[in-house]
Amino acid sequence: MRTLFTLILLSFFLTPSDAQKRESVDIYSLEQYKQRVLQDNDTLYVVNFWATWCTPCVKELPYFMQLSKEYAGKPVKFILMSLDAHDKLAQTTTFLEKKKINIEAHLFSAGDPNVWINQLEPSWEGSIPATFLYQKGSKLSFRESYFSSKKELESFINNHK
Amino acid sequence: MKKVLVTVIALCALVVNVFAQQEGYKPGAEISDFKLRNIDGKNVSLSGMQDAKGYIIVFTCNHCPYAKAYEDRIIELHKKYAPEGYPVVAINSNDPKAEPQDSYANMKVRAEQKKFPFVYLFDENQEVAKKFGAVRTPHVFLVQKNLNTNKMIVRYVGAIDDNWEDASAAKQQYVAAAITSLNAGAEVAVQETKAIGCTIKWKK
Repeated sequence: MRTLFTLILLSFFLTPSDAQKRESVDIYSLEQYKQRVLQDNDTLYVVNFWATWCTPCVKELPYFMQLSKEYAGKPVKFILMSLDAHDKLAQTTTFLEKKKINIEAHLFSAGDPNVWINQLEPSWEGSIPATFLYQKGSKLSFRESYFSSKKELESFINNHK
Repeated sequence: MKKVLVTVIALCALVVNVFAQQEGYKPGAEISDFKLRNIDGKNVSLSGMQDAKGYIIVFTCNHCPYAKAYEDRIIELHKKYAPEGYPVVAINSNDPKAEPQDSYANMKVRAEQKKFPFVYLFDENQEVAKKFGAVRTPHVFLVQKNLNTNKMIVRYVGAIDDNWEDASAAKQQYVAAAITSLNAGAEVAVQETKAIGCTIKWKK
């Protein structure tokens, strides 16, 4: 009995070792978003809108992670913009930790979607995943569907590099 | 040469046709009636709903967090506007193979849990969603019926309001405002809005 109690007590202090700590996901406004992706430099910004509950989004996250490793040292920056609810901020970080997705991530908070969707991309119907490419302060490309392989994401990026 | 030209024209026509289908109903478009199975096993059509001046057609589903967030608001819309002649017609078009939570059996369960006061129809072959051009859940098509001609015209397409997370913080009540305008015989001010939602899970 005492052993069991000790074990339970111990379990509170032990953190699961498989989940690597990552930088916490923070709230990002539309202004912060624009400042981040519309920079007048050669870096190619690959921005993916997703959510923890969106199955096709979650499925393609590893492609972004793998490519961010492959492009390390090159002027390509991968950014995840979560559309999860504000009260899921902490869970979003934990979720990415569990999936071992260690790329820059924010939770998008910009008010009425009818306003910001049209500002970012008038052709966007509002479904996710959706992916943007930005460079030199302007939008190069937009895609409102998932990538079925790493290769597909890679050619989407390379077509505009 | 002639053959090639004919083929090219035929192909172009096909492409245009495909795009036209993807377009779906926009505000001002006349819709055609459909017949779908309700959770009580009976087939329901719009024309069969007598006394209706129009319909709040909502493409929704069981699993999607956005659709869930709006469930209570959809119930409220029906309670408020069905007596005024605008009942909610909820439709689930998701492929249960892609999303098992959205099966016909689970629709019954969800409707029972939430005591849906409106019909909840299963668009099993996804034809209605395609025809409407519904792409996400929830996706609203507010339809007005001309009581003389029985023509059904789309008056609003989009979101219920501007805040999916918090109903009380919503500043724009898009569907409610549109019905108020229609009841006053006025033109709907905001006829189309965009919103984030779960994509409709199409059959592969």
